[in-house]
Amino acid sequence: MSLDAALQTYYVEAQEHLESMESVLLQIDEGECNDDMLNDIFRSAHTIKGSAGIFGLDHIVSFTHVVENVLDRARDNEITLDHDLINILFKCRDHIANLVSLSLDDFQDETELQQTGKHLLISLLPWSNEDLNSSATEEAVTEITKQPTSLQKAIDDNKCWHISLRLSNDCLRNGMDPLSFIKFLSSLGEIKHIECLTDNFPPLSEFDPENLYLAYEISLQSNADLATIENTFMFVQDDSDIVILPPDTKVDDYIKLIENLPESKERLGEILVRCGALTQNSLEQSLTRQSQTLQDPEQENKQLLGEVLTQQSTVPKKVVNAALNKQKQNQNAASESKQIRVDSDRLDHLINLIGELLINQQRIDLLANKVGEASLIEAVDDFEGFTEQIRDAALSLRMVPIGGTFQKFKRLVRDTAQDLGKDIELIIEGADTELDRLMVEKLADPLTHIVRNAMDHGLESIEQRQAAGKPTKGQLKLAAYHDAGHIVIAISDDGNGIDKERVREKAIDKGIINTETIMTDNELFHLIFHPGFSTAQEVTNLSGRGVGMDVVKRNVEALQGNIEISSDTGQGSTFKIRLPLTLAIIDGFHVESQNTHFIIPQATIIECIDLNAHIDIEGRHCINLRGDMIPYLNMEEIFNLTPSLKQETDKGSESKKHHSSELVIVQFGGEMAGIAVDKLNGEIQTVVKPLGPIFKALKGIGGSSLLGNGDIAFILDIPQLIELAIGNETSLTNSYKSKNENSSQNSPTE
Amino acid sequence: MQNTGTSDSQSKTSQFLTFTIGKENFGMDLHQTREIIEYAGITQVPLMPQFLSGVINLRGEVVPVIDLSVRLGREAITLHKRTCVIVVELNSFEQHCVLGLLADAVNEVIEISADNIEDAPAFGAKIRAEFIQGIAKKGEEFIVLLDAEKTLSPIELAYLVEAELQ
Repeated sequence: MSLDAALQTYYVEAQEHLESMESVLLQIDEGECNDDMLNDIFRSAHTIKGSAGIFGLDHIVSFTHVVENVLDRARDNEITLDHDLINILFKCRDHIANLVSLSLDDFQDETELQQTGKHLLISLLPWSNEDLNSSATEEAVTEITKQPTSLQKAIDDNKCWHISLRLSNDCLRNGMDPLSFIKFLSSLGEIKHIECLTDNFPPLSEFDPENLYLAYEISLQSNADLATIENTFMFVQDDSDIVILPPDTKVDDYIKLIENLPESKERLGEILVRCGALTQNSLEQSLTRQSQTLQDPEQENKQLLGEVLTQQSTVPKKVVNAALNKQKQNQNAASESKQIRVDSDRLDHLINLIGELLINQQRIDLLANKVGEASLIEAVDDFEGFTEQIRDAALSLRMVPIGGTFQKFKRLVRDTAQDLGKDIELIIEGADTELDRLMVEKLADPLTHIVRNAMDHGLESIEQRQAAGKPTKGQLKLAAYHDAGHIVIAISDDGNGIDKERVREKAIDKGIINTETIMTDNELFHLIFHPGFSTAQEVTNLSGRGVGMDVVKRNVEALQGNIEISSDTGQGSTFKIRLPLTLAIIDGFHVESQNTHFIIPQATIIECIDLNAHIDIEGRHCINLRGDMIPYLNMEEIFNLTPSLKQETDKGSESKKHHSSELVIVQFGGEMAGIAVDKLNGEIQTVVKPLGPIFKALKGIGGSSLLGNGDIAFILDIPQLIELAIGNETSLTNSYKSKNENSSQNSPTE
Repeated sequence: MQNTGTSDSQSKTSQFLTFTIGKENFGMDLHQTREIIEYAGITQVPLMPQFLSGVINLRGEVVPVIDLSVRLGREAITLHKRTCVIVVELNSFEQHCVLGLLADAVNEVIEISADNIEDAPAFGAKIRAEFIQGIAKKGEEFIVLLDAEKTLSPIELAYLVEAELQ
């Protein structure tokens, strides 16, 4: 693993620890506090610090160190985590998160961060251990104001890296020539001295010419950074012992190196002296001191190689030695046994392949039915069962519980409530409902907007709530559940509700509707998704600028979802986001209209009926289905399909008295509608193939899919299709729209 | 890049795939063409403008097919037995895009040195000047070298589709 890749791992790991810190802090803030939690949070901070040390991210180490100290004292029950301290710890956590993410892109613009860090450390002072740690804090404060720029600075031009190479015996056999490494090193800088150790040479009788017996001690003068030097040995790292000591390494580290290497101490010492890493004098002193008991620590501290650095802790700890790496690998191996981190691209690839498998399976199904051999059909049926299971298993890999996303809102709600001076309780339901990882990522923004709006506009202040006779604590509920093949995420509050009159006034004011327009409640509420629409009386820093809600709608629609709003004045409002289970593979119903294949998502279908058995009501495209009036649309009309597959667009399709005979009744968001088609072909599992950016403007078709025989079918997007039908009707019958629309839209819901 | 054959290193040669639509000869940078397949039917996409003939199933990939003739402002191509589809791969704006082009016949791959490519005439080609990468002379014939990125820009095509649907 190269250093860069390791840094990525560190980043991901730190992110996890930061998340756990946050959730534990929230729990403590809610009043449940026990030793386990304190241990957890301490361990998180400790691990972040420790790993940061490995990568030489000193600014993180020094800051986190102070936080860790405070947490340690809390753990020992010397101090208690009260509300103030938790507030500061939250800020510290955020600061660490900032530092960590900055470490990935070479500390740019960190002056502000340093300031924040400094203030935070000072505010932590009252809780940290006075006598021992105040100096540490100060040190940290000075440390953080210093420019902790990259390694180059620390390296003086005339200082040398020391590289100790113990390549594995198999090195030559694996096609690696040690000479090539040395040659490469010389391209990084100047090799000041090189010593070849032949101690491992066996007697000639046991000599295997394919074994590598040589070891090297190299002194390299170079301005390259540690990662570059380390990357030289990337291919042999795993089974070799390679120690890279940067310039300014303390004598003791060299001594440690000497002790860890298999060759005799005296001999190695001599070599290091020859390499210029040690002076004869310091070597002798150190070696004798090693054999004796520990001497005066003062003396020891002064024996730094080269320049004397004033404080031990300010020495850049860039020593990434093999031992630490090894330890880290072991740690990783242990955690990997439970969970594997898989690149999402590889997962997507797997799901694509399974999609192809499904298409092939359908082809075999067709062929088997053609052949008509009973045993073959049976075998193919079994096969079908397994492919379905494989599909479900693969898709479940991509599913993640929504709880993680909901959890993040705890903090947001807590902080926002504090800012607004409101008392708000967040209730989470259905946290283990799973949905596609891709969707979870894209949902975070829209959810944040809605939650913020609910807190800012929906929920009233404590006084207003008291006046209205409600409990002072406002409730905000995030819930997720399955409904008819969809996932519904509901955000509800028990606040004031949406003021219909105000929305209406504002919409008229903005020219979105005119005074005569009659609208259903749902339509009225949807006006708030209009760009630039806000009913907030005053603009706060949270919301009220009218930016955001239109983005919410767009984001949800991009996920093939839709939003329903319900609201009762004085009782609160609910936003329901309805999303498909997954975007990759769907269960569909294959229909045909004018030889064009369409797939209707199975989850939206209620039933199929014979259209000829029902008579249109008053010549309209509506039928009476067991007492309900159901509007329907005709596929060939809405998509202007012509009987011939030739290219000329024949506008006179209506004139040909072709009649669709089947009607598929679909529902979406509580409303029902019919889709008239020529032929029903049955259930089918389809892989959604997006039609690509060119077809983006095409409404009503959500994607394409391949049928078993290789034909292409279009997957219908029911809500869009209905919208399209309404749009077409509007342009046709604009004059009497306002009268009629209300009745035709309301009836199906009843 | 494509410095094949000629010892003269100063004049760069590029390879072009030449094809015929109607009576005109066109060329396109060989790098942007992926394969040529037989025309075996096409699935029309509802409500699309005329230049978008439909989509085809290219070994499991759904690929839009463009009638280049319409796109260049000519009559729609007449389908016949030898009609073929040139599959083009574009990598513009970090977006990978695969498209098919209808052609009456695919002729050959020719090597043309940069010297033999002239700028597009200001007018007279009856093609939007920006679509033309240059005009190549081959014997007595002139071949219009098309700029695939511009002629088939997904952004512009999407815009045209949107305009049609309005």
